[in-house]
Amino acid sequence: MNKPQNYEEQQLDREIRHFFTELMSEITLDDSLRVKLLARQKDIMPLSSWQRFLEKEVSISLAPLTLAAAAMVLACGLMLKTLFLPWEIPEPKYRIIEMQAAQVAPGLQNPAERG
Amino acid sequence: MRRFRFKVKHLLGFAVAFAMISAAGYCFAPYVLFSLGENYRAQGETLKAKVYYERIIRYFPAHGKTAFALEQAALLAAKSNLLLVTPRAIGSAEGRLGESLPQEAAEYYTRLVEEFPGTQPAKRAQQALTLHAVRRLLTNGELQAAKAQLKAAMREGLDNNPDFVWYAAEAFLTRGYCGEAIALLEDFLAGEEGKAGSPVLLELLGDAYRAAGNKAKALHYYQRIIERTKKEKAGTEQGDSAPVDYYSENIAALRKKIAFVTAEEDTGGTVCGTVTLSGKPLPGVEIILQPLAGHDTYIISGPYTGLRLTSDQQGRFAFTGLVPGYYGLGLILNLDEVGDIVLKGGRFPQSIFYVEAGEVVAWDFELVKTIKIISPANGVTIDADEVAFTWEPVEGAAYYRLELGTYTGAGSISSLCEKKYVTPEATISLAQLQSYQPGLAYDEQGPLPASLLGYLGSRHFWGVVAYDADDTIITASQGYLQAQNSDFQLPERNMSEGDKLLMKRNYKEAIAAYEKQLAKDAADLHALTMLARLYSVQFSSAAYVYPHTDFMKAICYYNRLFDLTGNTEYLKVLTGIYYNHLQDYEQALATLRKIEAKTPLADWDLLQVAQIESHFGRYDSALQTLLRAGRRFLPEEAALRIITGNYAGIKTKANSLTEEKWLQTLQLLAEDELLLQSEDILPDRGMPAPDAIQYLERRKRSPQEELLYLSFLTIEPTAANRVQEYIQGDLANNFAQDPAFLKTVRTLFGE
Repeated sequence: MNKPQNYEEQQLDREIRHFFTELMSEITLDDSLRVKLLARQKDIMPLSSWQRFLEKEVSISLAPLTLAAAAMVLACGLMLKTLFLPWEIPEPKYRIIEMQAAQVAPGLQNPAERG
Repeated sequence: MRRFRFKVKHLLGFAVAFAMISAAGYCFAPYVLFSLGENYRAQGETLKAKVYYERIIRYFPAHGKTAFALEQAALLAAKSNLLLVTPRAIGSAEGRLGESLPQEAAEYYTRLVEEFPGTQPAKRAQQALTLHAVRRLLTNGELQAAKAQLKAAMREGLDNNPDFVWYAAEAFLTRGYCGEAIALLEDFLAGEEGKAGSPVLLELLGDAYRAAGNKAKALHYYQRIIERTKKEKAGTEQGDSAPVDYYSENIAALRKKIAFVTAEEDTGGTVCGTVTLSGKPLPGVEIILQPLAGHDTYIISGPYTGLRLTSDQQGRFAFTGLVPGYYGLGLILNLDEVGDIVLKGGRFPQSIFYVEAGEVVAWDFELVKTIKIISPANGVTIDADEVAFTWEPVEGAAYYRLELGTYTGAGSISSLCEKKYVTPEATISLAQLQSYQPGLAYDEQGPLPASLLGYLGSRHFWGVVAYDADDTIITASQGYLQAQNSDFQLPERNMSEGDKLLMKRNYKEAIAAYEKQLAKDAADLHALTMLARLYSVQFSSAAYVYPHTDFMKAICYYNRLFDLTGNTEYLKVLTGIYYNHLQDYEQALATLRKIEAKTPLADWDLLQVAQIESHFGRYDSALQTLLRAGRRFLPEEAALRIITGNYAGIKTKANSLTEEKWLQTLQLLAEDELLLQSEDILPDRGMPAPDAIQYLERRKRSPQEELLYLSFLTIEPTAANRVQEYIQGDLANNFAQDPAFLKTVRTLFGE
């Protein structure tokens, strides 16, 4: 069902019609234009159903588009975090102390350095 | 609402681009993850590194990089579960082809072999699994099953890997299967016809023939290495990747083997023993016997040098057919099996010994559970004037000693307090604690400020060691793991201007600030202590020479500290300055006497007194002083007994194998009626040790004079650090034809 047009749209329609009327009154069909039009006629192939599908336009409103974009950014962020950032580092099962026996000096027995 | 119009082809284009980016991500993400893991591993952050390897394994199970991630994860799993304990160092054990393989690492390797067959990591994993299985079977005496396992692995392509062949042959050889080791090595070397043969394989083959009693073949292979390495050194041989420096590194050991094989008496030595955990046999423990160049040289080198065995079901192990020489014995423990433990006798086993031909050296590793500490608990801040330490009692403990430590900013330093506690509790006043100097830690830029502050700083830790009636350590609270954290903090103290400057390593201005502080209050203990410490530091490195050393000032401040507090800890530091830095033995002795007037001298102090008395020629008194010590100083006691000719009152109880051998040798000397006394050799019996050394150095010394010379070297404070070098160098060369004499020397002075 056609929606009622407002004043600006009606005005635009009138201007377009006027433009075409003016153009139509000035057309002169000479030989070169005829050849050109015939050649174009010959090149034009009917579109296949797949091409028609590809050329089809889909209209998406802002809200789902924003949601989809946000979901993708979130997914990418999650993936990057899950894979590349250091998190969930486990507690070591055993903390082995690296020690070197030092030279035994007077006053110190079994001294050791802990790293 | 605003709408966006897209053609389907654009939407599809976007989807395809997204899919391609995702595919590229899948292909390249594992590389990025692996590189992140490698970076963390290189920085020593193994836990983070393992997280990245595990992500590759979890999210990219079929990716080519997953094989490498599995391999690295296995290596890290082994590293975090295996503890290496040697006489000189303790830490994580590494190594793919060692005897021990923790369960977690084995699981990674198994998955690697199953899921990525044919890849290089899978081959290496197969090697590790096979060697582990073969060793386990051999330890259990299942020779045929071990051979079958090895044969199967060889069929799968491991037969062309010299590393694998070496380890497999070594596993057979150390367990006494010489024939199998020879066959394995000969087969491999035959397959390399035309090549010179890897020196390490040739040497092992020589060892195998030596163990099998085929001297000629053994010599043939040893000589082959020498010829080959000589050629390599001369650069005449081309196109082989064998290490050129093998000659320089191993030729001395190789010549020892050749000399041993060619000698008439060629019975090898044996090192055997047991491993127990809380008194029960511990099977499956990897034991490493490391040949050493000398008593003081302990290097845990790469593969091909240490001999490895696994303890059997009764916890026993035995290395046989050993070429005479120094050896160090260590072990690798699987922490999943033993948990938080420590060795009876101390963290570092004193298992370095000289093995003579035909000698059997026994050494037992007794692992015991650690002492549970009670208070101060980890993280506690002390809010009293004293610190009360308590711990759970240990059965059989005659006394305990506290171990106190402090963090230096680049690790920590700890030391045992001399005081003995017979009950499981101890109390130390803050003033006493702060007077302890735990030792200084340095880096290239000089002394670390936190170590200079010592217990005047904030964060410290403690532990306790239990001893039996024979002064042997029976267990300790701190083993090899940070299992029982025992950090404690002292009350917050306002940092002085000097402290702040010191923390910035501005030593000069810190000294000026402390001096200023002292000018205001001449009895400021903190300023006095810090000045004494800062003036007694002696340090130089390529990057920095500490310019503030002034021992005279340090002595002055330590004396004032003692006068103000009466605390003998300050006198002990003073003794160290006189004895070690100034070599002013008269003052050192006077300070020790001052300490003795207030408190009984510790064993180490008694040793110092004995050495100082010897320096002045008072040997009889020195011996009597030394015998007052609770512990036995073997080389020094031997030295003083030889110098004085006094063999009376030798305590016959030996606490270790080393002490037992020392005692036997000393008793043989005591019974030797032909042994000359010092007065028979020296012009004056009371000749001070430095003069006696000079006198004997001018003579061509007989074995008896050599014994006397070594005795003076051992007991003289300025010469004691030359003894080991002399025994292993000039003495070993001069008396190479008299092994009995060298054995006597090593037993008396070698430890």
